[in-house]
Amino acid sequence: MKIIVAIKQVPTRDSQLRVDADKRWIQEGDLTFEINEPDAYALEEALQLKEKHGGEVIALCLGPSRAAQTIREALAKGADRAIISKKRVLTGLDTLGLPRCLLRQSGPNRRTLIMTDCSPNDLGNGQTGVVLAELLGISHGTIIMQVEKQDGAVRVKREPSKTAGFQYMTLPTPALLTIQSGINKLRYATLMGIKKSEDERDQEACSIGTGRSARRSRRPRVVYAPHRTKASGDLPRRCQSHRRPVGRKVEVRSEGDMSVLVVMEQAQRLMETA
Amino acid sequence: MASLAAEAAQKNVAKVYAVDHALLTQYTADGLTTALEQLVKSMNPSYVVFPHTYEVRDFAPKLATRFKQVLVSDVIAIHAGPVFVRQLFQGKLNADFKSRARGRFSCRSRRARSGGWAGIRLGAG
Repeated sequence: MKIIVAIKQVPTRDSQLRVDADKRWIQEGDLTFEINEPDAYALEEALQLKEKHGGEVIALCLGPSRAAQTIREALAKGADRAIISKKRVLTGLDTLGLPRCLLRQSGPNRRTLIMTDCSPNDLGNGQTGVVLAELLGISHGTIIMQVEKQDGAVRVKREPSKTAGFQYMTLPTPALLTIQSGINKLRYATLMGIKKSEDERDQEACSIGTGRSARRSRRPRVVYAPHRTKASGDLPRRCQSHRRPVGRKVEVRSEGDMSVLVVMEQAQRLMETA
Repeated sequence: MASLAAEAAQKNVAKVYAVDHALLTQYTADGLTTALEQLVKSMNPSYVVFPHTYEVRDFAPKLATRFKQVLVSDVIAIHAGPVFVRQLFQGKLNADFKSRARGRFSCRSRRARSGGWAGIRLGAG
């Protein structure tokens, strides 16, 4: 089973956040970043499934160059490959634009499972997974507590609400699951894993295609694989095919259709005046 | 279902629509999305507003995407414009979201409708 895990890098939990000069985003200069914690649980679930049933775990990340650190961490923990799509600014993307970016990178085949978090620690939209599933034309399950692999399907246990008990569903693969935080015990990266991940292979993709999609795909996309083994021999070909067939024909338009941050204020100040 | 529709009709609303189908008795995101897609298509509204519940979070992004629209989730206030206020970084910051779809969106979409959909969460107090 091939499992794609969409991960994200966010400011560390105890960061002091300051709004930047044009009030569109936060000042990132003096912040430290880490893997979005809910994503870490999705990655762990993927790694455990791989260990049980075999297959491949691919970490997929959108972000600026600093996000490379986060995907190295994923490789060190045991992901087989990682793809980072370098995008300098993610904040201009709305809840439709971001999954569209991910869509270009994740072409699932019949055995693919895509996993991500229920709701990230930064924007907290909790929509990326569901929107991506709709763009791909595949089934999704949110707030997943347990995943059990079946033949051509996954049986999942979900928590529809805090009070309504659990719901069990069987989804045909490819499917998309958003994993509930805390359902497993996060592992630490092994020393060997860290060493391998630092030795990764860096490859700038060349763009092919025509028209608008080609112009956009010139944005550098880097593919990391922990070591130069036979298994990673197909990487260059993979990077060139920037649009792979998906479940349903999807029209990819440019990002940032709707939302833009206009004014941000410290929540506290707002609450005082309210 | 009928009693819920009757209760809603007592509120200050122009019209209440009840969608009833055997396949909707058990909640699935696919089922509810398909049903609401038909309802929204037939009414062509400017905005669609949902309560912020676990169930809505499960299907509303899917429904919005089907219309190539954006769902603004977890809205705690609406100002003139409309400007939607939602919280970021687990409540550390508040952010105002405003659609810039007018013009841009309409020229690329067959639907000349601008604006997004909001999932409304009522703030405490």
